[in-house]
Amino acid sequence: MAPPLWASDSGSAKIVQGDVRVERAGVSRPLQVGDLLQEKDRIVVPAGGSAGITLRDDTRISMGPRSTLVINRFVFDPQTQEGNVDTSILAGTMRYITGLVGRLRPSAVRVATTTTTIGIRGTDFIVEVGDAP
Amino acid sequence: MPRELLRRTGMLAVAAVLAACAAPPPAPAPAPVVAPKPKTDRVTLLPQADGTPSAVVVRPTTGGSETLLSTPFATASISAASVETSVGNADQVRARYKDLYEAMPPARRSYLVYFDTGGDRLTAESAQRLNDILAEIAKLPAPEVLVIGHTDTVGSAVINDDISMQRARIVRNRLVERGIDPQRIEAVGRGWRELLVPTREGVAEARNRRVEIQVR
Repeated sequence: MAPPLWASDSGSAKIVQGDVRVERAGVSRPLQVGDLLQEKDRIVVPAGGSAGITLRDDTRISMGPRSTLVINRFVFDPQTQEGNVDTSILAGTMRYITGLVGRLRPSAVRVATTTTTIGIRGTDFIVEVGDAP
Repeated sequence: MPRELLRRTGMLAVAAVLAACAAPPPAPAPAPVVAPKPKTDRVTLLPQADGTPSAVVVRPTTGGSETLLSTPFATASISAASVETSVGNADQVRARYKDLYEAMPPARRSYLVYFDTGGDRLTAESAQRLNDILAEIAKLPAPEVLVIGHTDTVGSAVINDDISMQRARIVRNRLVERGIDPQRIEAVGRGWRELLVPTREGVAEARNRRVEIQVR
C-alpha cells in the first residue's frame, strides 16, 4: 500500500482570510485553502486576516490577525500515533487544540513563544504574544 | 481599535482587564513620558469539547517556576518579571479572541456505512445515508478523507481482504464523483482484522460489513 500523497507533509490550510503568506526556504508565497504545510514553514497572517490549519495528527490551530507561527518540527506515525509536534507562535494570537500525538504523549507536544513554553495536558488553549518592548 | 486599547490598558493589572471587558475602557490619560511596556504573553485555557478536565503548564523560558492552569478560562499573564493568573469567563474570552474561534477548522469526523453480505452493495438504508454524508463532506474546506473497508468473518481471509477493498473503492468513487480531490482520498481494505462486533469465524454480522469514512 503506497502511503497517502500528503504523508510527507505536516498538515494543510483549511481556512484563509486575507493575504496570508507561507515562508518556506526563504521564499514567501500566498497561502491558499488546501495548500500543504511542511516542517519549518512560517505562516504569517496580516492585519485583518486569519488562518486555520490542521496537522496530520489532527492538531487544529487557528491564527488571528498580525500573527506568525512556525512549525519547528512535525513527526507523526499514523500506525502508532507517536510523534513530535513543536510549534512557535512569534507574534499575535493562536488557538491550539491538541491532536493524537498530544493525547498519547503530552510531553511530545511543545508550544512556545519567545518568552514562554507551554506544556499541555490534553488541551484546548489560546496564546497571545505581547507587543515587543 | 478597541481590542488593542483594551490590551494596552490591561497590561498593568489583570483586574483592569476584567473591568475593561465589562465596561468601555477609560480614555487613556495624557502621558508625556511612557515607560516601555513590558512584553506580556497571555495563555488562556479553554474547556475540552467533551467536558473532560485538562490543563496547561506555563513556564517562562528564562527559568522560574511552572504555573498550572486547570480551570477553564483561566489566563496566565507572563512577563519577564512575573506570571499572574486570573479567571475570566466564556464571553470575555470569545470577545477578545473572536477571530480564533471563527478560523478554527472543524474537528475530524467519522461516518459508518453498511453493506449487504458478500459484496460491495450498500444496504438500502446506508445507500440513502451516504448521500447525506457526501453532501456534508463536500461542504468542508479542503477535506482529506480516509476510507477504510471492513468485512464480517464469512469466507476466507483472502476473499475478505478483496471485499473490504472493493467496499472502500465504491465509497471512494462516490467521493470523487461528488467533487472531492482524488489526491486527498486514501482507500484501504482491512478485511476482518478490525471487527466492530467480535465474532467467531464464519459469522455473518451486519455491523461488521462496513466502511468507515474519516474526514479531516
